[in-house]
This record gives sequence, structure tokens and C-alpha cells, in this order.
Amino acid sequence: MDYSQVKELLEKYWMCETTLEEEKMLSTYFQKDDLPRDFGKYRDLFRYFSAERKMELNGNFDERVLELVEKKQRSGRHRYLSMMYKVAAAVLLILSFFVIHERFIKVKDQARKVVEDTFDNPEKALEETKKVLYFVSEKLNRGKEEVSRLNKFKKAEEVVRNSKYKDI
Amino acid sequence: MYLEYFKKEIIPLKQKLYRFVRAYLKNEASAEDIVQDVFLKLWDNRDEFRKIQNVEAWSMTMARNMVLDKLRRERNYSVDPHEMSMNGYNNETPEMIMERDEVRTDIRRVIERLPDKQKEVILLREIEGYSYQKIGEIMGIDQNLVKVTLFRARENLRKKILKTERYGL
Repeated sequence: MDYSQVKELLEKYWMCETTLEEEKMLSTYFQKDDLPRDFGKYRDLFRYFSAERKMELNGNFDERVLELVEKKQRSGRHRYLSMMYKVAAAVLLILSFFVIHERFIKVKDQARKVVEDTFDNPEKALEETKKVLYFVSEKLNRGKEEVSRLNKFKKAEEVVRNSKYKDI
Repeated sequence: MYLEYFKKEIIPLKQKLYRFVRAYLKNEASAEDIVQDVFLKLWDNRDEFRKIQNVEAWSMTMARNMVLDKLRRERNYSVDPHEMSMNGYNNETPEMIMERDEVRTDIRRVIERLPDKQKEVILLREIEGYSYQKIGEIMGIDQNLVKVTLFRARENLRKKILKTERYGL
């Protein structure tokens, strides 16, 4: 670039009308040692920017950051697992409660069914009740007959026990 | 999955982030710490990776906010000439290094005295070489405003450089 081109470009630069490409050209130009006298005053500014652009992170920065990130990831996983265990324990507790509750309801229902009425019609109920009572009565009477027969044996035993032949 | 993305897309931004942060903080060690914090914060926000269209602008914005937070907390704008030494210069005599550092300190001081927004625009344009659009995205302002702010910043720099040259201030 010749003097007039640089001067024109500098004017555009101060007016913020230069493209990034033109600004790069200016930066490269001002790295030269033999600059015209009236450009010298801007040399330090362009050189300063250029030097700042060369600043770099050195050393093992990547490794350090990745190590910290992986550490965070691991502790995150640990937190996730412990949270999952807590959730699982809570779910188990709730399920147990429901199972116990269901069982309790079932037993209660069965007990209620036992005492519930089985007939809608009272006459039919009475008839059935009579049938059952007759059945029970019949069984009881039969039992009574057996008992009276046993009583005869008992009386005979007493007669024998009280007779004069008891010592024979 | 996130880790792969992080290694491939985020870690390579380290130099840009570092230069930007360093230009603000002046102190290499603090700059490195802030960049590390930025990366960890980016990792904490990894769920956003898929949603973000421009990861670079997003990362720079995060770095910018963290730097501004730090500066707001500390308000530490002092310049330490001992921190000015840098890589990239070879075969220099102590006198040359001293002279270069003095010049760098002067320019740095001029930039530091710019209003915050102007300083930010200057760093993003001159050091990172971002377009007006990208600077607008990072700073959350319209690109016309970026151009106006840059114009004012360059004008201020030019005036101060001429004044320094004329009066040695």
C-alpha cells in the first residue's frame, strides 16, 4: 500500500467505515519499521492491538478445565443416583401402604359380607330359617335319643353297682 | 454427549475468551481464573447447548458478564507494569522491553480510561476482530449503536494519542 492509500484507509478507519479485511491490512502495514513520519503516532496503537491479539493461554489449561468438568459430572452422577435411591424408597413406601390398605379393605369387606342379609324377600327368608331350624332340631332330637339310650346304660350300671353282688 | 460437544465446540474458544478477559483485567492469573470459571459455568448450563445458535457469542457474553461482575465487586482498575510482560517478543534488549512496556502501558491506560461500553467495543473489534453484528449480539445492543460507540471510542483514542504526542501526557 502506498502513502495515499494508507491515508485514505486511515480516514475510513476513524469514521468506522472500514471492513474487517481493511482493518487487517492497516494492522499489517503498521507492523513495518519504516513508516512515514505522520503515521508514526498511530503505530503504537496498531502494534498494541496486534500484540494483544497474540496473547494466549499457555500450559495445561484444557486438562485442568476438563478434569474439573469431569469431576462435576461424576458428582452430578452421584447426586443423581442418590436422588434415584430416595425416589425408589419413597415409591416402595407408597406401594407398601397401598398393598396393606387393599388387604385391609378386602378383609373388612369379607367380614361385612358374612353379616349381610342374603334374602330380599322376608317370607322366603322365614321359610329358609324354618328349614334350617327344623334341620337343627331334627339333629338335636336324634342326639337326644342317643343320649337317652346312654342313660339306660348308666342306670343299669348304677343298679349293678348298688346290688349285693357288687363285690363278686 | 455433552462432554464431546464441550471439547469440540467450547474448549477451542479459550484463547478468544482469555484475550477478551485479560484485556479487561490486566492480570494474567485472574484472567485465567475467570476463563476457567466461565468454562465451568458453561458446563453448568450444558442443557442450553442445543438451544444456542451462536455458541461463541453466548460464551463471550457470559465471559463479559462475569468480568463486569468481578470489576463491579472489586473496582480494581490499577495497572501493574510488571504484569505487562508477554510472549511473542524475542531478541529484545532490556531497554527495548522497557520502552515497549512503557508504550503498551500508555496505550492500555488510554483504553482503560474510555467509558465501559467504548472500551468493550474496542476490545471486541480490535482484538477479537468481530463484526458489528456479532458485537451487538454479545453486548445485547443494536449494531448501529455498536458502530456509533466504536466511532466515539476511536475518536477518543485518536484525540488522546495526538494529545500525548503533542504534550507528552
